[in-house]
Amino acid sequence: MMQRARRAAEARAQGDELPYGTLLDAVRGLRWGARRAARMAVPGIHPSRVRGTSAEFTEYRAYRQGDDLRRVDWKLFARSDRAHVRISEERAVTPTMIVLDASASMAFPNGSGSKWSLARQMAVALAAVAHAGGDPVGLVVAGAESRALLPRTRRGVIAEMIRLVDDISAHGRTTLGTATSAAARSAVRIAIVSDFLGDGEGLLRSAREMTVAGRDVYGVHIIAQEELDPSRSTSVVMDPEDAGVSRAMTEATRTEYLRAFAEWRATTADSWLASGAAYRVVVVGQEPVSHAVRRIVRGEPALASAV
Amino acid sequence: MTFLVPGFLYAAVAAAIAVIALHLIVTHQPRALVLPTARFVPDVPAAATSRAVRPYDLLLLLLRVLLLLAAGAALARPILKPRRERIARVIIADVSGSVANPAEVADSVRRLYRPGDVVVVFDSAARAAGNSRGGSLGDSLLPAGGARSTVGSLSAALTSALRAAPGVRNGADSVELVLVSALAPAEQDLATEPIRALWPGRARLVLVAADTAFAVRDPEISWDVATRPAMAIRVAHIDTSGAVIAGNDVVVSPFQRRWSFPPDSLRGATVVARWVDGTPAAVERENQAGCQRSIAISVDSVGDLILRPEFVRLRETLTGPCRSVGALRATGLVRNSGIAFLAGTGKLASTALFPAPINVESPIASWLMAGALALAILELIVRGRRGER
Repeated sequence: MMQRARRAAEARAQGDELPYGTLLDAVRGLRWGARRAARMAVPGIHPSRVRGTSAEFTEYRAYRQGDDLRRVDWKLFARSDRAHVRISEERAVTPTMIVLDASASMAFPNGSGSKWSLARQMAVALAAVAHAGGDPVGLVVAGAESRALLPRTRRGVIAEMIRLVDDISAHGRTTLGTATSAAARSAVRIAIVSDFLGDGEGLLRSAREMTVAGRDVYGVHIIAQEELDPSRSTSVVMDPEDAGVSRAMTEATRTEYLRAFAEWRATTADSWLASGAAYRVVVVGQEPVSHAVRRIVRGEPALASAV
Repeated sequence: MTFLVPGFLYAAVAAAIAVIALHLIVTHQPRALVLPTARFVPDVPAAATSRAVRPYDLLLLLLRVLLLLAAGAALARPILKPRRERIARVIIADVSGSVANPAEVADSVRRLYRPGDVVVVFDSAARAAGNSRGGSLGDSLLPAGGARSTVGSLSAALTSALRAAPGVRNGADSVELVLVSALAPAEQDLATEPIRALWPGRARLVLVAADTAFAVRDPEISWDVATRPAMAIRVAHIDTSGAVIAGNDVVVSPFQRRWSFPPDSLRGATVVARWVDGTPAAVERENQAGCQRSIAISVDSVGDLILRPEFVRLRETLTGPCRSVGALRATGLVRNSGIAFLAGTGKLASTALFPAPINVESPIASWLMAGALALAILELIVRGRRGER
């Protein structure tokens, strides 16, 4: 408690106290539909691959050996002397896990305008949208100190998430692929909020595996404005996650940097889209968080300026 | 103050400007920033050169500039310009036996002398008696040991005056040559007039009384073909010389040289005749009686040599009174026409016509070099404290 209070005080002092209330109000009413039919049998709002016995009739199908006799429409059998079973549309829930990257590269630049602040808001907003649809939502924060909340539907889970992400600072290094694979065991829909600068290959491999396994994977790429347009003054730039990377940023190297970074972003987008995952880029400060969330849950394309 | 070698000063100023320019070009590590996407920056050396608006490290810059200027100024050999007089004098004082009263010469010199002047005293040789240090002037005008029996040499005096003139170059606009002497013709020789012509201006002549008592002494002549002349020794092998020269008299004839004067015999003596190869043929020396002349010229009894006019003049010269005094007796006191070339004509000699003295010592250069050394040590200390740049 003491530690949490201290960090909250630090966050207030740094102007890093996030407006979750306003954000949650802004995303209220959004529905995050599943991109694939769920295999879950638990009733929910998303289409399910399971054909059940719900009241919402769809069609008849000829009886096949092994069908449940309780689903045979006996009245039709009496009229037509042929055995048919009633097929109805099932709706299922989509347990959702938000994987939040809390590595040191996310804490850039400092303050409320950092990638970490945007990522926290995105994670909370996506969880809130999923939770509003009746889906169990959980959270995995992968960083130097990893924390997890298993998917739950109970009230107050969003508040727990807010406390959790506010209690953690982004620092150190992490392997998001491992955290994502662990999250996939208890979820059907996985949203990864990261800058993809860490274990990019491992994370992409996990995304492919999850997609093949029928899970709904979302990649939310967080980019800082300062990364897209670094300062033109001569400086030495250092990677916060790799002390061995220290480069001179001059007018000449800046041009090469912009080219290489754009090329990497395009490659990353292509790779994620090719893996079957949904991929969206969100740039810090470029649009309200609620707009970015709306784009993601509705499957709208990324802003042209972000890519 | 002026500089003898100003090129060093110009070079030091140029170097100081270069140092200031270097202090404006700053090579340093740029500020470090965190950038998560730093891996996309090309890996080139992380150092950059930028141009500063103000020079960095003003104290170090000041020390370096002062060090360069001090060293350059020291090497440029600064000298303080003395107060320039309109005229400086080179005073030639005759202290030879031709002068009747040396005190008269000394009085004349003291009356003419001003600080910054140069005094040259001469008898058979000439020497500088001092310039600005007038305290030693009176003593230097007295002949050493009181002996004044030698004949003076104006050629030697004028040569010494020419050498001494650059010493007053920086102190005056013009140089006046002042000759305090009896100006006896015997003090002149064939070189006197050409040497005088080297002095670029007129001279002032201050005549003093000649020693007539010295002039009337007759020499004790030893002229003997068969017997050994006084002060001479017999030569091991008799050879022949083609001519003998005494003053302006030259006699060309195959003279047999039977005698020679050893170096010891020439000490204190005056050569009055020489063989054509320059060795002494006749010398004279003062003695208690007056003057002893020894002639080592053998004349054969055959032939017409003794009848030839040039030999007659030679014989008269060699058998006359002692050289200088005999001339005085013949001419009386100095004739104005005979010394006209000594006075010369025209303006006084400009100091610019004399070469600058080679050795000009100034303590300023030493002090500047010491200051440059101190600044260099200070610069090392300051640089060490701030880390090598």
